[in-house]
Order: sequence, then structure tokens, then C-alpha cells
Amino acid sequence: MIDWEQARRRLARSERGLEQALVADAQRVKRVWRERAARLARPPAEALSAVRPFLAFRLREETYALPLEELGEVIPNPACTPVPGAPAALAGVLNLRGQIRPVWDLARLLQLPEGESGDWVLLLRRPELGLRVGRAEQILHLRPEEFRVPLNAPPWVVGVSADALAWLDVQPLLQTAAPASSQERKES
Amino acid sequence: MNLRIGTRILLGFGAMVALTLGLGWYVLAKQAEVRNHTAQIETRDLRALDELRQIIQGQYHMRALRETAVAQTLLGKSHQSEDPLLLQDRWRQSYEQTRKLLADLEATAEEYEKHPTSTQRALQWGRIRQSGAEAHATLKELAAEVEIGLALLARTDLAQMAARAPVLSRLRQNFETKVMAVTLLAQEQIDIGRAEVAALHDQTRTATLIALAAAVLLGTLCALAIQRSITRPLATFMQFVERVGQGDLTQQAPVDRRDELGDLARSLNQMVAGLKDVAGQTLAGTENLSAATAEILASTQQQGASTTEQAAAVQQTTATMAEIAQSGAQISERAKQVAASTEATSAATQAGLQAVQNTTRTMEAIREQAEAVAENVVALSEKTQAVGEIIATVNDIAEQSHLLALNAAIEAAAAGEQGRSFSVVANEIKNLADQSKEATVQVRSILGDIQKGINSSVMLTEEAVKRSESGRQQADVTDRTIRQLADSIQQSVQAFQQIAAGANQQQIGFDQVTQAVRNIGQASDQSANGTRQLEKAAANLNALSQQLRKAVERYRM
Repeated sequence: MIDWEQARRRLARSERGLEQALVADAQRVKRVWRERAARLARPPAEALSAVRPFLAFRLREETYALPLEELGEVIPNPACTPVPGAPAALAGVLNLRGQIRPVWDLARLLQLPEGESGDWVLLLRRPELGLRVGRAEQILHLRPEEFRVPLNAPPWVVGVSADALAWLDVQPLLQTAAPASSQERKES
Repeated sequence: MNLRIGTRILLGFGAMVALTLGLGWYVLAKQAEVRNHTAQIETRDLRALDELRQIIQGQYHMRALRETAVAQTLLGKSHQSEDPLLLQDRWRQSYEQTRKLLADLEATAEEYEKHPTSTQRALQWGRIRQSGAEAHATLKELAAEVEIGLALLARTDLAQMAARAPVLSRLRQNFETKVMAVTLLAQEQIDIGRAEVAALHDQTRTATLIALAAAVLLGTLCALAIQRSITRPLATFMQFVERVGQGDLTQQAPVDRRDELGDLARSLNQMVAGLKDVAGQTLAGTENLSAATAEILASTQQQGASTTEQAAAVQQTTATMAEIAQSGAQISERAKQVAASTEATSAATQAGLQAVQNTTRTMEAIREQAEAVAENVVALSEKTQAVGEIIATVNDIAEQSHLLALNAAIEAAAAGEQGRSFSVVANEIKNLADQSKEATVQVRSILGDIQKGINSSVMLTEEAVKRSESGRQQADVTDRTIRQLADSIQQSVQAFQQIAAGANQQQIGFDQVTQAVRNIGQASDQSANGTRQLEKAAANLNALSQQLRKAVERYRM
């Protein structure tokens, strides 16, 4: 037999909890602001010159990184227009505020097996092109010496960190996969 | 020795008979020889003696005639007397006769000399013949002298006659002497013949004795041979039979003979084979008998045990029957009590029926309330859907904030040293966006739990409604059951009354059964006694079969 008295007590308690959670508590808001101010006031633990910001992004199961200063913009789900007669690795072109940029499929550039290509595009500053990747995760501040160069590494891998983050160099990738397109880009 | 014994005995007897026959024939032959010999000798000797006697008579006759003639002459012719010439003729006749007899004697002697019975007698016959011849010659001289004397007489010349008388006398005496010598020789011959006959007789007797001895010896040897040829194998067979008698059946009598003993050996072997067969069958039969008696003994013992158990069971049955009789009485009593209490139960069923109808109504109310609860819970679920939509909006906002923060950070990085503060702000915005996103994830999870709880509540309520429906149906069933129960209680009252009556009859039957079981107990006691005797007999039979087995095992096969 259910204890109806206890059931009623539990119902009243949950009702009260819900009211408290929904009503803004002045003390709680003040505590949050104070903690944030303290965190922002704390000087950086390490010299900023020693670390570099990296954008970590996922492509299928792997996590890759690119230095933040090489990037121009991150766009989720852009509308890419396929180009007829283009190399297989070229996903298409993107109209970015009136400017046309080529978008390369990073999975095909890395010669990964056929599969999901991802729906985010990272726009690079130099050269001005887009890379189709998986989801962009977060900004990481890392020291370049944390990356180690593995044996028999392909030329586009600068290094691999302790938590299997691969630092990519886009230039050799483009040269090995599509020299014709780079030539074309130079003429333009 | 392939001759049969009968043949052998016949041969032996035949040999004895042949010996006896030969001996008899020999003796008879010898006797005939002796008799012939004797007869010959007697015939010949008697003939010679007879001739001699006639010769002597002839001589006497001649003398008588001559002297008669002389006397007549001397007396003159006064007397009426015979004619002298006639007398002379008569004398001459007598002389001729005597001379002829002598010649005959000579011839006979010569003939016998040529065909003698023995050498000695041949010599004697020779001597007789010579003496006869001398007598013959003397007779001729005498005759010549007599002729002269007769001639003188006729002339009556007496002087001359007297002168010549001595010559005549001397011749006559000479002749007589000669004849006497012949006679003596003949008598000697007779003696010789007698001696010969006696010798021949002796010889025959000796030969007969020798032949008899030889026959006896031969017969004895024959009998010994036959006896040996029969008794030796018989001794072997006696030993064989003795061993068989001692139980040794492994031997074989020798069957290499073809006579009756061979037949006997074959018969003995057949007999031993038959004995072996019989002994083997007897042994097998004895073993079967032994096994059977052992089984009989075992089963008799089992029977004895089971009879004992039966007696025990009968006693138990008697006791049980007594208990049953007692409990039958109790049953009768109880049946009466139950009939009384069933009356009370019949009243209680009416109250039960009322309670079941109340239950049916309560179940119906429960079902209605549970359906109301289900309605409320479904409305609650629709509220959670609205909350979910709000959460989705918050999530979109968080996602856009995240993107915005990333691009802001990129711009700040591009701005270099000037963008450093902006980069911090961008990072802060990104953190807030991440926290918002985590919060929406938590709320979404809680909303899922709430939805699951609502679903299970609706299902539980549905189940409660079904159960209440089922309870109502059960109550209907109970209603019917109680009505049937009331009917059957009524029947039970009657049945218990019948039981009470039946128990009384049962009591009577139990008494009879108890008596019958007592009889069975007595019968099983008798059966136990019989089984003990049977067991004893089976044990005796077993011992007998063991003895029989020992007796048969005496045979070696």
C-alpha cells in the first residue's frame, strides 16, 4: 500500500523547489558576478608569448588543430555550390558576403576513406579558401613544444600533442592533393 | 592269432581225434601184421609137418608091403594069398607117392625159401630143402635096393636075399634118419616162427607205447597253446574291467584282435562309452539336480521369510482393522457433528453473498477514478512537450553564442595584441554558451525521465482499470460459487446423515473382516509350519544331491 501522506509531502516539496528555482535569487546572482570578476582579474598563469591559441575541431573520430591566426572565420552549415570539372577534393565554391571562395573537403585532402565530410567550414586567411570539417570544438592555448613530430609523419602534420591532437599545415596538403588548383589560384 | 576261439578249440579237438584215430589205426595195423605173420608161419610149418608125416606113413606103408611080400614068399604058395606081382605094384605105387611127397616138400621148402617171412627162416627152409633132397636121394637108393630084393624074391632066391638084407636095412635106417632130421628141422622152424612172432609182438607193443606217448604230448601242447591264447587276453580284460569297476572310464580295451576277444574288447569299449555317457549325463543331471535343489532351498527359505512377513502383516492388519473400526465409530460421531455445523454454514453463506455484491460496487468506483487519473496524467504529458520546445529554443541560442564566441576569438587573434582583451571576453561568452548548452542537456534528460514516468503511470493505471474489471468479474464468479456452495452444503447435510448410517453398517463389516483376518493368521501359521518342513526336506534333498554328485564324481572321464 502506498503511503498517501508521504506522497503528498513529496509533491509539496517538489512544488516549493520549483518556485525557488524559478524566482531570481539576488544573493545567488551577486555570487556569480563576484566569481566571474575574480576569474577575470586573475593574471594569466603563463606568459602569453609562450603559448599560441589553436582552434580544435573534429573530423570523424579524430581531433585536429589549426593556429587561430591562420583562420578568418568559422561558418556552420554554409551553402556550397559544386563546380563542374573540378578535382574531387574540391567541395565547391562559397559566396561569402559577395566574395567567392573555394571550399576543400579536408577528409578527401587527408585521403581518408569515403564517409561523412562534416558540415562546418573554416575560412583561412592565407590562402583565402574554406576547409570543410566536422564540428569546431574549442579554443586551446598550447605551447608549440607540446607537439611532437611522430616517425614517418606525412608533410602536412606539424606535430601531435599528448592528447592526440594533430596540428595540420594546410599548404603541403593543397600542394600534394591539387597542384593544378594552386596553379590556377596563382594566376588569378 | 586271428583264428576265432571256437575254431581254435575245434582244431585242438580235431587234432586230438586225428591222433587217436592214427594211433588206433597204427595199433590195428600192427595187430593185423602180427596175425598174418603168425598165420603164415603156422600154415607153412603145419603144411611141412603134414607132408613129413605123410612121408613117414608112406615109408611105413612101403616097408609093410615089402615085408608082406617077403613073408608070402617065405610061407609058400599054399595059402590063398595075394599075387606077389600085385604086391609089387602096390609097393611101387606107395613108393611113387612117397617120392612125390618128398618132391612136394622140396618144392614147398624152395618156394618158402624164395618168399620168406625172415632171413633166419629162409636159411631154415634152405636147410629143410637140403635135408629133403638128401632124404629123396636116400629114398631112391632104397627103392633101387628094394627093386633088386623084389626081383630076387620073385625068383625066390632067399640066399641072395639074406645077403642083401643088411644093405637094405642100412638104407632103410638111413632114410628114416634123414626123414627124422627133416622133421627136427621143421620143428626148429616152428620154434623160430614162435620166437619171431613173440619179437614182432614186443616190437608192436613198444611202437604203440611210443605213439601213445607222442599223442599225449601233442594233445597236451595243443591244449596248453589254446589255454594260453585265451587266458592271457582274458587277464588283460579282467584288469580293464576291474579298473572300470573302480570308476576309471579313461581306459580303452585293445581291439587289435579279430576273434571273440576282439568282439569282447569292442563290446567292453562300447560298454565303457555307454557308462561314460551315462556317467556324464548323470553328472550333468546331478549338477542340474543340485542347482535345482539349491533353488528350491533358496525359494523355500524365501517362502519361509515371506510367510513370517505375512504372519506379521496379518497381525498388523488385525491391529489396523481394530483401529479402523474405532475410527469408523469416530467418523459416525463426526458426521453427526458436521451435519450440525453445516446448518450454521448455510446461514453464513447468505452474509457472504451480501458482501460480494458490495465488493462489485466498490470495484466499479475504483475503475472510474483510475480512468480520471489517466486523463490527468495525459494532460501533464502535453505540458512537458511545451517545456521541451522552450528548451530547444534555449539550445539554439547557446549554439549561436558558441559560434559567435569562436569567430570573435578568431577576430581577436587576427587583431593581435590589440585584440587580447576582446579575446578574453570572447572566451567568456563561449564558456557561458557551453554552460547553457550543458544545462539544456540536463533539462532534456529530466524531461525524458518525466515522460517515461508518465508513460509508465498511464500503463499502470490502465493495468489498475483492467484489474478492477477482473476483480468485478471475480466477484461475480464468487457470487455464483457461493450460491453453488449453499446448494452443496444442503446436499452435504444429507450426505453426512447417510455417512453416519453407512458407518454403522461399516462397523458390522469390520467385525467380519477382523474375524477373516484372524483366520488368515491361523492359515499363515500353518503355512509357516509347512514351509519349515519343506525347507528341511529341501535341505535333505540338497545333501542327497551332494552325495550323488560325489558318487558320480568317482568316475574319471
